[in-house]
Amino acid sequence: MKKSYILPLILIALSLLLFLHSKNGSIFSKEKIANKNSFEVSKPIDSNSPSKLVIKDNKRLLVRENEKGQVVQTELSEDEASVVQLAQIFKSYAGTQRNEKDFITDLLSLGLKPVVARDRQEVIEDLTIIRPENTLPGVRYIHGQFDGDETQELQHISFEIKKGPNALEQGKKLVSESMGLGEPVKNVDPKMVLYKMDGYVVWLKELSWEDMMGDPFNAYSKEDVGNVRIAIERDIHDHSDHGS
Amino acid sequence: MAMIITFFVGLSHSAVAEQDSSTLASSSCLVEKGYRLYPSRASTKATKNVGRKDLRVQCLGAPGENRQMIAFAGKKYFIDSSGVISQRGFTYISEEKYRVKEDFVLWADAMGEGKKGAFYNSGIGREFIQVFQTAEGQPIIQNGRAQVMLNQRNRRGKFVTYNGWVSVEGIQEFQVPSSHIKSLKENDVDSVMEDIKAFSPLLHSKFTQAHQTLKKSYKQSPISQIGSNPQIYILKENTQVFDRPSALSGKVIAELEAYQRLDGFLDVRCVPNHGCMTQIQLDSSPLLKNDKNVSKKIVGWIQNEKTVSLSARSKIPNDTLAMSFGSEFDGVVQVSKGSEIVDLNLEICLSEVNSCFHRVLLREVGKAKDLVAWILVDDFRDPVQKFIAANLSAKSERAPIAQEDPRPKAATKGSESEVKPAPQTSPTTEKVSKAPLSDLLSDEAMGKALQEPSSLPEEKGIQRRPRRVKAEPAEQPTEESTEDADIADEEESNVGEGLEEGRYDDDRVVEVSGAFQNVVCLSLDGNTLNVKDESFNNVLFTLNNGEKIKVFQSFGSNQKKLGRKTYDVIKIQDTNANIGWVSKEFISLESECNSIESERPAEGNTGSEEESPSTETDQGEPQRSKLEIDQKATVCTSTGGDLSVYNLHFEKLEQKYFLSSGDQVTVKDNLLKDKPKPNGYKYIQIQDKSGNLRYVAKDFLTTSKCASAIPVDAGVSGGYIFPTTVSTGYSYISNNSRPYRLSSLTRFSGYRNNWGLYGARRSGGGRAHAATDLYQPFGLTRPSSNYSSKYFGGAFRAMKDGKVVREATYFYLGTSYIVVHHADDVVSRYGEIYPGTIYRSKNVRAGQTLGYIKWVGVGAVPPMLHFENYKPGDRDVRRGVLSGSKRINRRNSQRSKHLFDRTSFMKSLERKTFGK
Repeated sequence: MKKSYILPLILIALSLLLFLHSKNGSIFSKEKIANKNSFEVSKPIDSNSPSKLVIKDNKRLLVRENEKGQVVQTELSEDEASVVQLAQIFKSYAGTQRNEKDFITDLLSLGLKPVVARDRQEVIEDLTIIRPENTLPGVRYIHGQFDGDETQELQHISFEIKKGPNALEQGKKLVSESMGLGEPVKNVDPKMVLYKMDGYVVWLKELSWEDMMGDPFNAYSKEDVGNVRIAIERDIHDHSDHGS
Repeated sequence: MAMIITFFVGLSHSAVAEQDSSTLASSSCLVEKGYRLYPSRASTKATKNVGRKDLRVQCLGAPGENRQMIAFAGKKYFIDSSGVISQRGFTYISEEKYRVKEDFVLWADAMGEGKKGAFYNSGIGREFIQVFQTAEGQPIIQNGRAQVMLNQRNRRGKFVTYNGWVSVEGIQEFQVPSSHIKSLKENDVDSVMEDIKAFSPLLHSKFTQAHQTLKKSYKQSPISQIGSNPQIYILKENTQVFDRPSALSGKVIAELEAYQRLDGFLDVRCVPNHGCMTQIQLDSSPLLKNDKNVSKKIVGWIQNEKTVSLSARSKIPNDTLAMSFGSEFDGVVQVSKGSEIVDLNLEICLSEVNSCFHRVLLREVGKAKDLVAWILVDDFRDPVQKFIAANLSAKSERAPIAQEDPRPKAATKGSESEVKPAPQTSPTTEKVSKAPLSDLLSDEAMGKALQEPSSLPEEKGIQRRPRRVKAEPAEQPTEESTEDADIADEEESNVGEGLEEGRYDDDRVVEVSGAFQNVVCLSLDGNTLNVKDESFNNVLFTLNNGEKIKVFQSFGSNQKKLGRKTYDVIKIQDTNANIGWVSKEFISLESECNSIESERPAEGNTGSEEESPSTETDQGEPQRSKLEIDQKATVCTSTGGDLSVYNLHFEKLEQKYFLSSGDQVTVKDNLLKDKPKPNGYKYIQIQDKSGNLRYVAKDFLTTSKCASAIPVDAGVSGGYIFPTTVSTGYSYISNNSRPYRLSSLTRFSGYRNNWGLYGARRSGGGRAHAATDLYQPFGLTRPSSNYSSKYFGGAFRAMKDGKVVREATYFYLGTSYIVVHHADDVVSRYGEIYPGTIYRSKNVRAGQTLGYIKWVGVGAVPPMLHFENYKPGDRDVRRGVLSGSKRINRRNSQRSKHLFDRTSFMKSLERKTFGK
């Protein structure tokens, strides 16, 4: 008789956990407040970096300080960890001296195999495009564009995450937490999120077929509609400065 | 099989039976009855023995031996008088009902023992094989391997064959697709004729015109041999080609390796104390084939003595001459004994079979119609040489070869020893010019002379390695100075390599020069790649070597398990959006693929075919018009998109050959009831302005004015047209307070009119705007429902003739940009656009639609064309302040020192274009 109570109780408990998980979204449900010293971080948390990805006990943890100064850890899936890794790398190129070589190094450090194509032009600027042959779990189409001149300055880097009911929102959370971004720019397309960052823009966009057709580098079928592209690129127009 | 065996037996017996001993002894060369020749392209589908393209007769039997040599699949075999083929293991070939299973290796080793370990191909199984058999009909098997011939066929009908050995268990039965087999019909011969008429006269006229022009200007031909056979000239090894006739003023634009083949003579200039130089156009040698930095077409100036006549091929290495056009050899066709060669107009060498061929017009005995065929040069050297000598000067006249056996004629020519070697002497160098030297060397004359070939795609290679431009030589390049220059050039090229210091020194990193473009890369140009479904059981479509593709990337590993094995396979998409799976090994970056031939111009191309890369192939609503034969007509599509073009086999040509709205054609045949009807349209044979015969959908031709025709020059002086199709309202002029009054823009209440100005401050003054922003209203007519009214900002067009030097690249907030190098030397970036399908190296004409403007989806500004301009030598007056889109004072960098302000010009052009 006693056993007949235990099973339903377990099921109810599991259902409750599942409900809470779905309500909170996928990534911050496992957020915990912890002591900073209780983590084995691979490197000390950089004071300039808003967060750090830590591998501990085969778990991927995003460690950051909240507004109260508390250290918060968030357990990430493998796919989410990829987004965080790339977002943190991408941030390091905005408004810094980091260049194409650094990007290649970063890709190699992630176990990626970069392919570098250098398009030389006489009158207009040279262009270097870097795309790894392989990719990280949960992301694809990692793409970097750098000036081909001596500065090797970043023009555009981007990648893509899978579509899903909340893919844009989840991507936004991951990216903003990883990069320490503030409020997004208003008056943009509802399927797009735009941040300004030191002469660069960070944007996420839920891709429509119109965005995909004829893409110069990525292959798409209509099944891909809804995937989200995440990019950081030079702010050409500062459109966000006016017109809201 | 019976048919093939019969063929071989028949061949061997008839060959022997019909030869008399005197013929063999004298090694004469004739077209014998029962032998087969290479047909031209038009009979691709008209041959039965599709796998025997390489069967040919070598008329020169070894003197004293009663045998005849034939070449088969690139190898030579001998047939003796008994009719038994003496080559070991070579007897008959079975029917084409087998193929090789996946992943079985085809060994090249002739004995099938695999001693050499060499193999031609692995992972084969895509095409049928033929199994060699003994006279008793048994497969030839040694060490568990069967001797086979692999036949691979591409979409153009070209066959590549390999002889080798395959493990017996790797062979499975296979039904040859019926499309591979078709009987030869008389109509097909007509097609051959049509094809050749469209093809060869162009080449002829090209050379003929060049020579006539030359002779008009200079009484004496600058090169003595020029009148004999202009098609077979080469250049001496290490010849340098200059961009000007005088070595003193000219930059070296190319160094030629041995036996570069001359494609035409364009002009001659003589410089006091330096001799004369000849302007040439040439095809690159196959020796340079793998060098992607070397242009396939070069126009430049060389010293006259650098040319060498090739009156006999014996001096030319087999692999030095290769021409990419007209190389479709597929199938064989029987020719009657005593057929006469009535015209000979082209020689082609194929590296894959190490042989050269002449295209000949044959008049068959007793046949009413002539036949065009390709004949192995070596086989028919004597009659060919005779023909050249006797008839080339009067080419239009038919050779008076009697219908009786012409062998005695050839026999008198004698054996191989009588074939004259190439006279490696220099032609005369002193040329008399009636025009004053000053005129000849004037900038105007030079400009004209050099401008003419600029429409050819020879610039491609030069652009690909712009940093390898060499210094002007100090003096006229004599033989000695040429060597010096070579050393200097080498040093300079090292300097060029020094510019590549940014390269990443790590084996894990693949670094290439050029655009990031994946292509199909096969071992041999001419092969095709079967693209399969996900199960890899069914072929979905095929791709040619070099075709552009994009690679799908999954959100993880791209490896795929098929059966027990795991393969590195990838999902790809071609330019027509077809999707399928291929092995990863067949895909590479374009600049990494050695087997791709560089782009070549269309036959006799003057621009229209190759230069029609509109962004959309949109035939739109058909036009209706009554057309008569030989009537001029205009290509007219409703949206101004390109019109698909089919060759005479109804094979759809590549997009670059499409016709553009407004192109003029001549109707050649409007009675094509029995022809296929792709897409359900009625097709009509036309001749384009280059003389090519093609098929196009009749409904898109009109004899009246075409509203969607590309407005070349569009009534604007100087060949310019404003790059947007709707007036911007001068949005890029600061004193214009309200650039837009269109109601569709009212929702952008916060729009500030001066934001798109060139030089406008951005990011709080940290940057300056590099472009003039050409605003367009929402609500313009969209070419298809793929474009949303929300994002679509209208079409943009080439402001002036030019060439695309960078195809679509990511730009800003999900938009793209392209770069066009215009004829006025201004390089323009057309930004904030949909990527479209306009590709690098494509020529564009003023007014040609290049694509569509895409709204960035942010803020209060409407869609715009972000238009930047760069010009060599020009620098912005605010240099040091203006920094393009880069940050000011950041390592003092600028987008480009050649950026310049074109606002006033744009204003004037907009007024002229739109009449406001």
